[in-house]
Amino acid sequence: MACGEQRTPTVRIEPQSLSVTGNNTPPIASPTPDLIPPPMMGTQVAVAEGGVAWVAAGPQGFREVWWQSHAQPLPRPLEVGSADPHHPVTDGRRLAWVSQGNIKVFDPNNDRQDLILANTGFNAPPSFHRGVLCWEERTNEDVDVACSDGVALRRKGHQTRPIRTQHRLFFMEDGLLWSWDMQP
Amino acid sequence: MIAMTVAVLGLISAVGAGRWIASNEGPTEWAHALVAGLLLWGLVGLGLGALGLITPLAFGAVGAVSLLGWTRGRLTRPAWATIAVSACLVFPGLIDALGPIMGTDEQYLHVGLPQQLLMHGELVGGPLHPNGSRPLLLQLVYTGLLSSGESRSLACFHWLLSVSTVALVIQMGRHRLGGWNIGVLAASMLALSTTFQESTGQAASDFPTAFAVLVAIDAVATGRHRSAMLAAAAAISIKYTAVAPLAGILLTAGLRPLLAGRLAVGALLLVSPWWLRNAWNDLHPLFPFMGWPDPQFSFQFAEKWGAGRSLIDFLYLPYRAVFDADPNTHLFHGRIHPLLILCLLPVPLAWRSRTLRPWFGAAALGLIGWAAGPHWLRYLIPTLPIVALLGAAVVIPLASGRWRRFGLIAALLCWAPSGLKGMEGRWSETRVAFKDGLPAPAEAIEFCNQHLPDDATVALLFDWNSAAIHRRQVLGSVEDHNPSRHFFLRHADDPIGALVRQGATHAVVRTVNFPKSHYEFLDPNRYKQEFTAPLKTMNHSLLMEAELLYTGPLHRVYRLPTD
Repeated sequence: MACGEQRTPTVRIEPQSLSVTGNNTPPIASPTPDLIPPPMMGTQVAVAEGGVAWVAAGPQGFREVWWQSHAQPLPRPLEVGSADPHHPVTDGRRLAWVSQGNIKVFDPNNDRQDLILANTGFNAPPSFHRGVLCWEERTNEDVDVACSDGVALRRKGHQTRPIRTQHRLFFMEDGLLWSWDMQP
Repeated sequence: MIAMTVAVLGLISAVGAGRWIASNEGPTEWAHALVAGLLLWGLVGLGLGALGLITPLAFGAVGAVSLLGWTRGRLTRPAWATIAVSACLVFPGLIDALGPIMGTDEQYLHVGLPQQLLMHGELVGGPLHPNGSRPLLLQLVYTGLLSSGESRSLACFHWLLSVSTVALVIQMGRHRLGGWNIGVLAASMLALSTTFQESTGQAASDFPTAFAVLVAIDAVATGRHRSAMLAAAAAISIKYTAVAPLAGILLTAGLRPLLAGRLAVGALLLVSPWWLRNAWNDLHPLFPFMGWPDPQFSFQFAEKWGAGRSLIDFLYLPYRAVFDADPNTHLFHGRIHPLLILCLLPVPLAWRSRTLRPWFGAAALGLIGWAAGPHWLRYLIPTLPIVALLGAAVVIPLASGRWRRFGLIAALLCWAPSGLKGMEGRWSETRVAFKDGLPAPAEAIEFCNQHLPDDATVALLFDWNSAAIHRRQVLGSVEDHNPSRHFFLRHADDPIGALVRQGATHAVVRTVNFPKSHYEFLDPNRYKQEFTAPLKTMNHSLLMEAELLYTGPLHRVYRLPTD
């Protein structure tokens, strides 16, 4: 889905064929699932196979990331405090979020957390597809895109809002939606 | 109901204050006292602001002391019938006044600025608060009302001033121009105009200016020179658009040159504290309308409004301003009743009448002054009551006899839909607001009020929702988002650093564009430099240095880096 200037979904793009159709459905309101603590307004919920992760408002203006497993009755915090965690995303199996500019990856199946050093989380959430994360990265000159499998897009101008599929990287540059076909 | 009670108390208190200094005589003495009271409150507010005493307690004390003015004996008020007719004519505005704050100027200036003054406890101004560097007579009165905690009391107070203006029009028709029917016709022509009705229900400045100008002409006509001076000073301190009709009164009232000079100097001296305040702060006395610090900058593009500014456009202006005007576009951005202009056709006859000469002068210079500036019909409101009264005073004697009178009334009613074009949309908005409750503020505004720290200072970039965000603010909006555009032009090298140094902790950004079609009169390079470049600088610097906290359909909220 690509958005117009007012940030409402405008066109639907099929990732493989790149066929484009207009989106006539009204914008979907932010989901308000029955979660406690309640999701902070304007944030996205990450729905994985094993549960749901979301952002809640914490004290002193910091955000918190919470996890509600389908197998457990009570939610638990994944990260709270001054690291200001936000932008939870999922590839369906694992979860990732931004913590102090880096990316934390959480596997609910074994409760393991990994850290990816990055300089991100200032604009759009990372993209998480089949275990591969892609994120915006601030450099001294501009914003580029980097991915956890080593793919990187570094060129003049700002490349933002990455969305990764298996062989493609979609991103925004100068108000336009670009697609990078990475097939050999 | 509480808001209206606060507004009524405010009005009574202002009249009380004015009774200490206004001339107390004649059927319109209530109006003279009210204008003088507003002037006094504004100047006292300026003093409080200079001392850092803008607090509810200080305003409460001023209001209480003002009430003592009522101990100075009885006050003549308009007849109940006059008050009732006036209230009926502006009744639709009352519904607006009791509804949500919807007007753009209300949000950034008339409610937004008083809210900031109360938060800061002192006056604000300069390029970070350009609206705070205007003469703030009316905004300080509004600040006093807002200190009660009732934000709708400001619009209610303005609505009461609108009723007062119409009541004064009716009174002046009767007592100064020879018949109540002159006043009623003039008031009806005004009330059947979209530009007039639209303004009555919002906290605004055009009606208070019109009211003060009317009091000035009444004072000159009745030889109450101190009141004339006070009213002229009040009118100019509320809005500079009063200067043209006031100059017309002064030049054509037949005053001795020495007296006219004394009145003008006296009025300007009473306005001068505002200019001195700007000069003290190293600003041009007329900032923000002139003298922006580098880079040079125009406050307003007159060419943006109306139907053109060539010689032929000016010749057609009276016709186009009435019949082509569209309340929803820059094509005069309003609508007035056609009779208001048609009644002026026989007005040259008025020049022979000694009574009507100052009215003629005020109307003529008011109209010329308006034509010289941006062709926005709202800016004509300070002159419109005089135009209406002059037109009615000339036409009513010509409409003697049953058939002519019938023709006049038929013209008034048949052209009403033309004069009120565009009001149906406004009324429908109000109806929806009442039926479905107050519209929720934009989500981004709600986000700020819910999630930003209480001590946050928000930079409002290209946005005018000042009244809705309950945090300290810098920048905000006016005209073509001048504060933000100027800031990014002035600090193009390090705009975020400059914002942080000024104390901003967060930024609310509205998604805007400046359609090229609205600025065809500008050189393409200037358009690019003044309109496109600031947006580009802002987006680049926010992306590189700030953190996006919230994205909505129209707004983004950022956290700025710490110093």
